[in-house]
Amino acid sequence: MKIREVEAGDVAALTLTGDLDQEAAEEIRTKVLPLLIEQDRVLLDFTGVGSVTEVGLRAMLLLYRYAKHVGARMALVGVSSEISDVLDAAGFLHFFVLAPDRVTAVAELGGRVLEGSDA
Amino acid sequence: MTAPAIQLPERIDSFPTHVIDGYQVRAGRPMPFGPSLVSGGVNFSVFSSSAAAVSLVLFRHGEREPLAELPFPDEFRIGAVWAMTVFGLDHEAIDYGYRVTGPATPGPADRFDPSKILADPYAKAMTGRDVWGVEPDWTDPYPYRSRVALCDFDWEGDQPLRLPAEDLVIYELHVRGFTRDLSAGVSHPGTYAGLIEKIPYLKSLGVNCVELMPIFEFDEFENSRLNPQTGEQLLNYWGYSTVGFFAPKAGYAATGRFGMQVDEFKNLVKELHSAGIEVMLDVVFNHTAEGNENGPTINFRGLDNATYYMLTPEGYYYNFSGTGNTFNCNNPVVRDYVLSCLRYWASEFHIDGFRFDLAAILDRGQDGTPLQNPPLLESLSHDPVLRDCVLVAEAWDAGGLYQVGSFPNYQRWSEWNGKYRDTLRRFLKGDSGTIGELATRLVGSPDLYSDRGAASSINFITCHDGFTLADMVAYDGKHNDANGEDNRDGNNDNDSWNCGAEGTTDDVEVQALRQRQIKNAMLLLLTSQGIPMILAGDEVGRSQAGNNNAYCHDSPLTWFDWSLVESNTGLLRFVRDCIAFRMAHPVLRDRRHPIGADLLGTGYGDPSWHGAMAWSPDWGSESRLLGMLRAGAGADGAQDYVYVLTNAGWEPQEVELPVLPEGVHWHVFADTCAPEPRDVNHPGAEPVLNQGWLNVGPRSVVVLVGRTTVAELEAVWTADDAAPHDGGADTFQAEEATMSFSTNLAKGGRSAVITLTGELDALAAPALREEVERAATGPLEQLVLDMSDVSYLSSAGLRTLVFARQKMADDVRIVLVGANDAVARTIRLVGFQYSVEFSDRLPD
Repeated sequence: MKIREVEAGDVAALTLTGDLDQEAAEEIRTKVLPLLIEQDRVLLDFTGVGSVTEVGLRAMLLLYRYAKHVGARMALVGVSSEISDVLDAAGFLHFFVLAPDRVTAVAELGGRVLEGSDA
Repeated sequence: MTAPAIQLPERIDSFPTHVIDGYQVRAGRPMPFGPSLVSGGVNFSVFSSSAAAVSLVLFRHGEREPLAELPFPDEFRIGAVWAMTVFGLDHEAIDYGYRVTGPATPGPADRFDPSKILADPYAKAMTGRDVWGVEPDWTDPYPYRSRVALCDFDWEGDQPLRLPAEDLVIYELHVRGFTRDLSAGVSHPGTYAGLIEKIPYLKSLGVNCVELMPIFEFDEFENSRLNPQTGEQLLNYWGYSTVGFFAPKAGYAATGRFGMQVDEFKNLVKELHSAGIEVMLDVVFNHTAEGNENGPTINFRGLDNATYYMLTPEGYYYNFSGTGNTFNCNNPVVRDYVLSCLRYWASEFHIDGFRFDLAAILDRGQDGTPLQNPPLLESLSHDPVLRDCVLVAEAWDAGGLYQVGSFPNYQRWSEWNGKYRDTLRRFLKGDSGTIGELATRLVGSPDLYSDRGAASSINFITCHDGFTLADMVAYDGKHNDANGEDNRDGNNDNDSWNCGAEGTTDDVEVQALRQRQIKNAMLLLLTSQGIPMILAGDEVGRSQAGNNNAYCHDSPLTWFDWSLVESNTGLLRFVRDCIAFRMAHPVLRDRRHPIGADLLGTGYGDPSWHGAMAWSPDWGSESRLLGMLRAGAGADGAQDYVYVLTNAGWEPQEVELPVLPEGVHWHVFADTCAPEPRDVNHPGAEPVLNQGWLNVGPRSVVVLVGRTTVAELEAVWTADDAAPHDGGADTFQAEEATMSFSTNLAKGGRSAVITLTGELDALAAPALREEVERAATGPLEQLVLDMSDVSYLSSAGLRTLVFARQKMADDVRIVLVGANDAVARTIRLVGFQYSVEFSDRLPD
């Protein structure tokens, strides 16, 4: 999995590309968790995420717990129905802001869209 | 996965002392048993009193071959407990188990098998049967695998509801069967998540406790087979055969394939609680899935057979459970295990109560003898963690112990009242000689529970085990051929009656009688003192085609058919109103048994018994008519009178009614002989009965409520077959309007808000009626009446509210916002508060 920072107004944003698997889980732990301490609003773009595994989903659960703990809000963009179904059934989908695209997500998070940014 | 590189631990006590099979370890802590997360690692602790050697076997999740096998050094054993802390273990990525080797010279009771990998009895999650019904790999050497689960669910402030036990209405359901049928229309059929989607239905029905058939991990493929006649796949659908006592069944979770069943089940409990519904678990501690001498070695047998099972001196399994083995519950180690398990469910899952399957086994000693003072039951009764949990015994077993009324209870236990079921069934089908016992059962079976209180009696007429209610009135005998055992299995003593034809029939008279018998059963059940339990689906007449032992069918035969909710609205409405009626009348729910005395100064003893003539009950063996007058305090503290009149005979009867105090009149709540929709009236909106006698139809039940005529309702009850009565068209007088009144309707989404201003009286009522009719034109979830500026509510105004209730579908909530004290009091006076909701502010 590749995790890359992108411009999205004044909200910290990352795009995830690849499968949500064991390796992705470790990437999420090392790259996303620290961001949640520095930023109170984080956007994750899932448009490029392929298949998911149990460990990958548990990393999402970890993000949820962690964000809740530090009081950060998270928006997810382009989540597949497979992932959102599982998060919904497990009872923590409602914690995330879900948005079809980055602009909407930034707005939902209460952020500002900057002129000329790709968000 | 490779063993992790050496890292400096964060805490001084987490330095490893050994390296075993590439893993850094140290001697673990013996307590608690099972896996627990400790600083830098996972502590594993397992009990075996006579093992010679134990290894911890680790797998990458789902892989067939082990990743590592870590023998416990002998210095890691304290007493009979093997404990080891393994550092740097990614517990989310592994499955684990134990390999246990017995002594060189095994004892007669030993069944060690080091060729097998054993599941941990304390595993908090299990994998291997992650998705229901997926044919397992029969060659898998380790089919039921232990997993580590975290205790980090976000309960968002949830806690067990602690509803008073006497106020419960229990609804027994099968997690999968409740929503598996396509007619359920849920996005996650047959799962915990699917059940969440049906919470609005449970709320609208009015039940406040669900009893879930077993949800501890079991194997639906245990003893799976094809029906020799039909070729149908038969499974262990009910699940009374536990593989993992600490693990919620993964196959019931939509997220089971992702190992998130613990989260999903907790979310179900949280959602049920937020809807005001308690969760009771059906738990099976009388035996395990390991069966008899020929059964599989899963966990207990290979760890410590002699401790966990009741054995004959020769080492064979006692079979008091009828399923091959008997869990040795009063052995101190096993007792501790059961207690730990229940504490875990009560604390970690916020479970509100437990129903113990074949609980009589729990008071048998280690040789099978029933104990006077069984230590397990004593421990459970006084346990601090379980203090607020309802404990319910199925007080019999398959070894001949029958303890209904005599279960060792420590003033603490309730029981499935089998005698209630048997008496009600015999009475309903018209047996002679049942009247006296019927009376005892209707008031909470004081013959059995006078020392414990009425809430000790779980009243039920049907449960998962036996006929559904619709089948109880449609079949004389069981029809279990589909189980593939030539109709030999299942109970033969059903006390059922088919009403004139066996099974499905076109005879409309038979159909009508069956429907009435179902209503009779529901009405008696829900006006009986004690805790009522309804089998899911009985409220809409669900049939299992006469199968009274459908444990092996995972099919439409056992699934809840939600089309019945549409096709049997009459019965559903009847049951809803019966539950609401029970909630409106505390005298029916009193924890104390009535003793015939007039304790509240009502002028009437509670209860009093009546026959065709008031105050003259006929207790003769050929009597099939009984009137029960309950008198006590109503929900508002005023005097309340409920008259339950039941006629199980085949002739109608003219019945004289007991006279009520001055100003109090009988109103008809329900008459099972009246055609729908007049068979039942919304609690609080019962029409007055302007006569001192009643014609009670054949095989029917009538329930009356005595109420003062303040704010009398205009409707007068008439029965088609009742003799003419005095019309009663003027039982209210129209008031004069003294103030202008205005309404305003606003609709948004599935909500309609009517704002009322002024006095809601006879002149104002027509305007409100019109608004209600307009509001009712589209699909609605709730009708909000903003009454903040209503100064006065007259009887005519109240009728308009009743009209609104009748106009709206049963599942439409009616919310009264900002009703002042006088208005609220008027509504409460007639008991109408149970048909609406009060709120302080407008919904968003």
